[in-house]
Amino acid sequence: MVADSGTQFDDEKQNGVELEMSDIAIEANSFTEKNGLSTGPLPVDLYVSKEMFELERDRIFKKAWLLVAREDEVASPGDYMLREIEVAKASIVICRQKDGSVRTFHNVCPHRGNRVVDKESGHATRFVCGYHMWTFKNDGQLIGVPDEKNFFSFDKQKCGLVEIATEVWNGWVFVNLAREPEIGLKEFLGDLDGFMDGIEYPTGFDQVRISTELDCNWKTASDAFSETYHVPAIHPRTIGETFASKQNPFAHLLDVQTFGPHRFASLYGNPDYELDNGQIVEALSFAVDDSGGKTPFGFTPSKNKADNVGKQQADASQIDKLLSHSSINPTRSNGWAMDILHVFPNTHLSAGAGGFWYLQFWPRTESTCFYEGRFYMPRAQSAAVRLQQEIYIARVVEIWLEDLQNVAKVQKGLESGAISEMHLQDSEALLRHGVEQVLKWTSSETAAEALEGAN
Amino acid sequence: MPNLPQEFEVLEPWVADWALDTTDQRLQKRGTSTPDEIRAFHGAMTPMAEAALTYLNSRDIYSLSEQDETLLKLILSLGHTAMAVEVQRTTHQPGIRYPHNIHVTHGLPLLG
Repeated sequence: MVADSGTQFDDEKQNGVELEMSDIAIEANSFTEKNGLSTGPLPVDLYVSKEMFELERDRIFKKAWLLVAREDEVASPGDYMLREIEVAKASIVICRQKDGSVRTFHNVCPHRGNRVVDKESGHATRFVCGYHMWTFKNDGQLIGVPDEKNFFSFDKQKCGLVEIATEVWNGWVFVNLAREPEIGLKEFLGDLDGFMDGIEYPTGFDQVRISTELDCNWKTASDAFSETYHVPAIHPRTIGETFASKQNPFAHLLDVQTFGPHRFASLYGNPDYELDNGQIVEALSFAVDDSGGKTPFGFTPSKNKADNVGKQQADASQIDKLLSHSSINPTRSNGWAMDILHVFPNTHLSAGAGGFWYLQFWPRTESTCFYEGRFYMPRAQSAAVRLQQEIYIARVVEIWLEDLQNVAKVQKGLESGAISEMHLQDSEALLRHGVEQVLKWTSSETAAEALEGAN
Repeated sequence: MPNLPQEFEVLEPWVADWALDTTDQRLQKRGTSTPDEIRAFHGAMTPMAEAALTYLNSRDIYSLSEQDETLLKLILSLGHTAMAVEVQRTTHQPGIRYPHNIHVTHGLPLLG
């Protein structure tokens, strides 16, 4: 079924944009130049070319450190989770060890290559390959081989699961798919490490995962979530009034910083946003219980800043601790919506007034990708707060639908060959940095070379 | 045995279609229902929403009776139709083919 009320909706949207754009009060910034980025047009072939896709696979995704999990997704010894890194044709199993460390293995049986673990996540101290029942401990060691004597000069020690380099940084689990990583995680993170030093993320929150397949290049998708220039046009109802205002009609950014291949932007939020009178259900939920107070984008109407109680107070103080870190809303702006920390190559770590979440853009082909968001929320203690969370999820999906129909059109436009370059303005500084970094990595033989002069 | 607490019996006609177990089911239900179905459910639920939330809010949501949980499922579906009717003011976004392929693949512990 295709929507039936498009005409009316479109007319209203156009009017809304015209009204907002009549009043330009916020001065243009020069984040692009401040961060040493170029200002000319940029090529678009890296969004469409198969050759570029293959270079990205070989020189970025197989050489860079990849963020694959939040540490508490494998909270206790024996917990494990799978990640499919399709661009590298890798299935990996991330395991919490008895000693508290996190180790990662290729999900491939060393006997003849079968997939060992099928369940997406769980708790197990051993894994059994379903093909010939080889059994492994969760530290990768091979401990059981049926009819072992029938093999020839067989060394079980050498037939454990193949380990992948794994490091944990501020609770984020990174892997490097190179058999011998060319760079360490510290080197890869560079100055980002200092920027985030001492950050404390909440623990014990519930996770909501939302995902979809997209008909666009992974960078086309990431770009759509890296700039706010489009917000008044694409999202007039869902977030148009939270990310833009009469004072800042084009949703100019508050801050942009770059750290080697990584980049950061702080996004404006309308401090005067309130639910309009038509939003009856959401308003009711806050009228009945505003103790939950906040959801991760900071959509909570300003009149409902809550004093939290009991368990919620503990959750709120964890969020306050996160938000107090100097890397979050670094301009300490009263009009702040959220931050995007783009950890190269494909992850956005974000924080907003209500908490934190992360988005990932995984390439499949040059024109398709897998997009997933993981959102963290304190455990709801009442029906009204549970409803607020449901509305929050519904709103995220609504925003994505708005963006995602757009990215498929952009991809088609780029693939048409009609344009060979694109023109980016200052609010699109993150995209520019992204293009420059992808070009740098894909033209470098080694990861060390790609990082040269980075920090 | 009734499906809903006595005070909310009037919502019985909506239980079969809208009292769904997971966030993804509720999300897809909103996406695959016709504009008339969405408006009808939203219109029937909204006048009862405050009473239902007040009723549920006096209870521990992690040990609800079956009837109370059914009421909560309806309220959570109302959250999705509110996004359509009250926020977007259109039940389906123009240019998008429904059912769409965005899914909640891992939900909250309670009815997620």
